[in-house]
Amino acid sequence: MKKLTLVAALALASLSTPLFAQTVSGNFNVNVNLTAKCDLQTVGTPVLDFGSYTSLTTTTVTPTNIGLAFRCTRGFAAAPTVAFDTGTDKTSTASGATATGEGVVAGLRYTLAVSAGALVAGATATAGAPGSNGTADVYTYTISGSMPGLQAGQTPVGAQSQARVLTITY
Amino acid sequence: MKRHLGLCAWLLAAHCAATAGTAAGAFVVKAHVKGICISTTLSALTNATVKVVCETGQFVSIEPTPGKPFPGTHGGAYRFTLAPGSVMPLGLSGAENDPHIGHGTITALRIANLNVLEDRLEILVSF
Repeated sequence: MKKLTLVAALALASLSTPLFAQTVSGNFNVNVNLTAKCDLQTVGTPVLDFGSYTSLTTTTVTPTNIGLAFRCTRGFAAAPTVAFDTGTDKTSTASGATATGEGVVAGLRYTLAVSAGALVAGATATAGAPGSNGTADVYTYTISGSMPGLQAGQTPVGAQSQARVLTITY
Repeated sequence: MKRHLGLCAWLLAAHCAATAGTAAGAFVVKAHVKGICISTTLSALTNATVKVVCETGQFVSIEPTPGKPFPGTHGGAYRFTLAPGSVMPLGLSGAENDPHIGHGTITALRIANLNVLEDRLEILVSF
């Protein structure tokens, strides 16, 4: 009697359960067209300040270096090229990742130099981690200047300035 | 990036053009100029202070080194101060007893006629 009851129970159970679990997959692609970009990260306009220059001073004046930081798409194979702006009393001699230039402010000729951008690699994006979208690569360019001595300058005396631009090409 | 651009040119130039771009950062170059005038005719001489500070671009003064002779024999402009109690410069020692010399300044200006050699007009103002 017991055996008959067990067989009946197994028979009933088999009727309500599939014989095999199966999966079916459908492929799809995720596409995006990424355009590389860099933009200026530095806030405000840095000032390369030569300070006070007494006409005909015999010493070369060297200001404190300034920096311009750009955030860019991650993974450039090579550092961006750089150049200073050109125009009246403004020159630039580009040399790949570095550049030199000259200018005139207050009738005083000065030289500029920018070294290759110092790269701080950004963090990669991580799937399954909300908020982990990654960060940009950051290139920081250090600009130095020099103003030779024995220059007379041009009136009016006092503080004068010249606007300059550093452009990177990626 | 050069390798990337080369590959792009080989594959599809139009598509890869979108990956080249520029970004610009502005900065300012600043200088504070202090004007100065230096006599080019007397700066190499001894016993004379000839550096003239011209903050406003104007002549201020030319003075001899204290206690030293005031040459008065060179071209250019001079302004000599006779301060109270100061030692009479050797160049003026012969005039110590001149009652017309007292405290004040002497200003002299020599003008050369470039058309006639050795033809100079001197202006001397004493007070």
